[in-house]
Amino acid sequence: MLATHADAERRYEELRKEALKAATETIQGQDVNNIKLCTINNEALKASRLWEKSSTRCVDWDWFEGYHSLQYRYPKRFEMAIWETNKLIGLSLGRPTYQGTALRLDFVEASPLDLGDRPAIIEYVLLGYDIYARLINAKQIRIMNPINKTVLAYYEKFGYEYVSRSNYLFRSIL
Amino acid sequence: MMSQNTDDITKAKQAKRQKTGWTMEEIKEQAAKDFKKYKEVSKNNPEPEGFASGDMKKVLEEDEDNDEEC
Repeated sequence: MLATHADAERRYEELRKEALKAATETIQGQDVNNIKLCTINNEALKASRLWEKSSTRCVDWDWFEGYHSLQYRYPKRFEMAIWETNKLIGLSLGRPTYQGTALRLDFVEASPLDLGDRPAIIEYVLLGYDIYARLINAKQIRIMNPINKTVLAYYEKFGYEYVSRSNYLFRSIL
Repeated sequence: MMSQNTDDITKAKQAKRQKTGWTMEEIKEQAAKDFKKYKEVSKNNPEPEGFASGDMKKVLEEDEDNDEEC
C-alpha cells in the first residue's frame, strides 16, 4: 500500500467513524436506543453470511468479496453497518464522485425479513450519508442504479429526484 | 418581515458553507431535523419488499473516472 493511499485510508476512516458516531447520537437522541451505526467490520461481514440462507432475498451479493475489493480501491468510501441490538439489519457502501462534488450511495441491502422482523432502515441510511457528505463538503447525494421502479418511487418520497439519463436519484445538501 | 430575515440568514449560512463547509455543530443540528423528517416519511411509506438497491456487480467492474460531475 502506498503511503499516500494509507494516509487517505486513515484520514477518511476517521471521518467515517465521526459520521457514524454523530448519526448514532442523533438516532439515540430521538429515543431510538437500540440502533447503532458502525463501519463494515469482520463481525458485520460474518453476519451478512446468514442472509444467504434467506429464501426471499432479492439480490445475490457477496458482501465479503465485494467489500474487500472496494475497500482497497476507494479509501474515501462511505460504509455503514446497521445493528439493531446485536442483529445486523443493513449494509451500505458508497463513495464520493471523482471530483468530490457528490457522494454516491452505490448499494444498500436490508436483512431479509424471512430471517426475522426488523425496522425499516432507510432513515438510518440517509442520515449517515447526509452527515458524511457534509463532513467531506459534498454538495449532493446520489443514489445510484435504483433496483426497480418501486424502490425508485420510495426514494422520491424522501426528497430525491430521478435523472433517467444516468439512472440515479439526487438531492442537494446546501 | 420576519420571513424575509429568516431567508436572508439561510442564504448567508449557505454562502458561508460554500466557502468553508459545515461545522460539526451545524451538521448535528441539521441531522436532527433531517432524521425527524425521515422518520415521519418512513412511517407513512412502507419499505419495499426485500429492500435492496444499487448494482454491486456493476460497481465492481466500473472505472472510477466515469463519474459525471454537474
